[in-house]
Amino acid sequence: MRLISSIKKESLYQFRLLLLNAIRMDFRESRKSGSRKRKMSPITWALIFYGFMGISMAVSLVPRTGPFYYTVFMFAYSMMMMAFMVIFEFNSSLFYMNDVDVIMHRPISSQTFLAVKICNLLFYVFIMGTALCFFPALIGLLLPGSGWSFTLLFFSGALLANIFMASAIILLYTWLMRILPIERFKDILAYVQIIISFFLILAYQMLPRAGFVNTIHLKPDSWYVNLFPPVWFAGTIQYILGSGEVMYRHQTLLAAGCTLILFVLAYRHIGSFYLKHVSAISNTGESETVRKKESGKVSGRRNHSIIQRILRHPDTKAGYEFGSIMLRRDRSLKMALYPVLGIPAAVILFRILEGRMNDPFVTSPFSDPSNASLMIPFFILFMVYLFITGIQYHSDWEAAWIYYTVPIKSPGNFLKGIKWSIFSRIMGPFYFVLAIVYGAQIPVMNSIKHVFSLLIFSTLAYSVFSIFIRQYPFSLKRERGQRIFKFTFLFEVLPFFGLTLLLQTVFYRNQTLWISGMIVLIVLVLISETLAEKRLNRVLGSLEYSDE
Amino acid sequence: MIELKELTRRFGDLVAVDRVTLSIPPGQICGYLGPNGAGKTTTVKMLTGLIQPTEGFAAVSGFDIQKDSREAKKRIGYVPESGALYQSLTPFEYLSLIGRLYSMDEKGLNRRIEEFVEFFQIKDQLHQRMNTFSKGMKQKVVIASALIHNPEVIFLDEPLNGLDANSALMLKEVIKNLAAERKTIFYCSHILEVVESLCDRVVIVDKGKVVADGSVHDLKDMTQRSSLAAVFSKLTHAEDLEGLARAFSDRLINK
Repeated sequence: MRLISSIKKESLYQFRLLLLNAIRMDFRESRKSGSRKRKMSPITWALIFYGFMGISMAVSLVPRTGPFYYTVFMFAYSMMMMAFMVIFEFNSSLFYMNDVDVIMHRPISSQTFLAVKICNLLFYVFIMGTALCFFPALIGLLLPGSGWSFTLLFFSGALLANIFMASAIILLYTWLMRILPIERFKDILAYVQIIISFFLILAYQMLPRAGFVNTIHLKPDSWYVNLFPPVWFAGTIQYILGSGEVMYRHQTLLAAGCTLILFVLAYRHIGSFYLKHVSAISNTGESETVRKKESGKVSGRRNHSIIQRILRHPDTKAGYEFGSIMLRRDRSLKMALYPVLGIPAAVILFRILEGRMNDPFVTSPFSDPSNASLMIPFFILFMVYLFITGIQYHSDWEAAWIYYTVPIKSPGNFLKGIKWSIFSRIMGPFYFVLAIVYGAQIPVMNSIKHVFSLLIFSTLAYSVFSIFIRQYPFSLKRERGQRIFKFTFLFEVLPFFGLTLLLQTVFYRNQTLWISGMIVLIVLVLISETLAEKRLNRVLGSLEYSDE
Repeated sequence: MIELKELTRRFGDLVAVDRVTLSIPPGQICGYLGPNGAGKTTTVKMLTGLIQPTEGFAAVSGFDIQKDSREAKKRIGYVPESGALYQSLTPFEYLSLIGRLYSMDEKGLNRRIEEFVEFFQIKDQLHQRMNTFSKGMKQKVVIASALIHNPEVIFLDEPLNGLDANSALMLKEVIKNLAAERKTIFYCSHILEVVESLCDRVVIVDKGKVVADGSVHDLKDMTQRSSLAAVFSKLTHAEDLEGLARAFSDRLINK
């Protein structure tokens, strides 16, 4: 309320101007000079794909659920996607660096500008939420005992739940900014995002198991379902529709109370600090952590020099060196890549908690559709896909002119070096930890063999995805909505996922088959790496630099 | 009028601006010089309210930049070194947005936009998106956006960046005329010839501290040097630059 009351007439005018301008800029389609070809903005694409995803999820739920369960799961999915949107679009939505030099020296109050930023973000939450939940609200009419009032409440409830989720994430970031020195905050932001992604996926995985007897009814005494915000909002709908169960009343109280507390906290704690923090965040310097670690860091350098020795081509070495430095120092790159790690990590933890980290050499992945050998490879492949798409974009994309002026003989090898750096700094340690985790659950030898197989499967995917790269690394502008748009591309992973499961079933039958299978896959990796290298050399050989 | 009292900014252990005290009256063009990393841009950022001082006081047109920041900012025009603008907009859209943020009336704003685009010769590009513009053309829009609301105090951080010779010449004349109209100009630059020809007063900073303050003539007298470039080298402890450059070139060629 303090925020709203502080906005005077002049500020309201400024607020309207800035908000409309921000929306206009985000929806501008990309168009190159001299070209009539128009490209839809990533946000428009994201809206289309969100629409498809909402429909497919709703269609899959309707035949086997009741209204409450349907609402819970649609809301959970929608809230999770909104939270990821805030995480991935954090920089471009709340902390857009151009704002510092363009807007901050103008006579605009901190509260007005904050209100613009939050409303801008909520506008996206609203339209993305609409894209995701509009059709499911209509499809919900097919549910037993549902009607138009359910559809209307479902849709408005979904929007409120999404706004709740987005506000909660923003509040968490703001709270961290307040309690931590700003340099420290910038250093740990990428890791905070890993943790948030981790908990989001974990909660999403836990929800279906939290006290639901089956998909039609809810176990009445399962109090712990109330730990999940989607349940509060779904319960509220049931309560408004006239269901007098005590549980729904409690959930309504939880939804109303928590929403109110969240909004009050958000506006009280964010307001006057906003401009100061935007400015502090924009003063990008070298990471403090890096500076402290830099002197006397020996172990990392040892690994580094081993890989440098493995890599033969000078362009690959240069790419590796460059990629390693960027991954160590560049906060924006860390924030783009690291949060993805939280996704497979949460799935793995959940499988351990469930006691379903089965030995894949004993249990076929197809024998139990929910077991670990099915879901873990899927999310690992998805992680690899997001890495490959992620390395093409960067906030300093304009610096890509350098590639066109230096004599890089083989851009393909340069990209290979960048991929090696991601492998050594992110994927390598991930597989190492995964081997330990599996080792604690299944026989050590099988654990090593399985993690090695996953490594080879994902490396094959990594190489094949990179065949489709048509730009130098870090050379594309990171536009609003682009990351979350890629996040909806789960289906691109599906062919590899199918192949992985199929090969796993075949190769895991005996030792000889496994060894020969791995050899075949390694050969395929080498072939696809060569293809990726040659294709990129050919594509970039004729590419002209464009700073648009 | 710009006033700075003991203005200080620290970044961790680094003191970027160290107890700077200055008073710049209306109608004066004050050149603010210093080597890279001397704290020039940090000073300007504090004076325009982009960052907060760690200690000290700064006021623009009598308004404390921290306490009355909104009133102070109404009177400020700022050309940032970065030349940042919203490139997906057209110059017309961008200048309209900026003018409206200062509550300019529609008619007056459109007239001003027309004057600026004619002056900078970008009339044909008025409705084209700026992501296709050259650096110089973007800089013209940035300058227009800093001056469109007729500010009392103007901060210019390398304003000639990317401008062609004719536009630079015209802009320098505009700056002189603005000073004659009693606008206060705070001019940061590395182009010493421009500073020498344009500024009534020169402040030289090194490692965050003011090391000299006076007219170009005073500084030459004080240091017994014949050009502002020589004065600058002496005051920033960077003499015999030619000798150093010669030695470096020799090493470069021999390699």
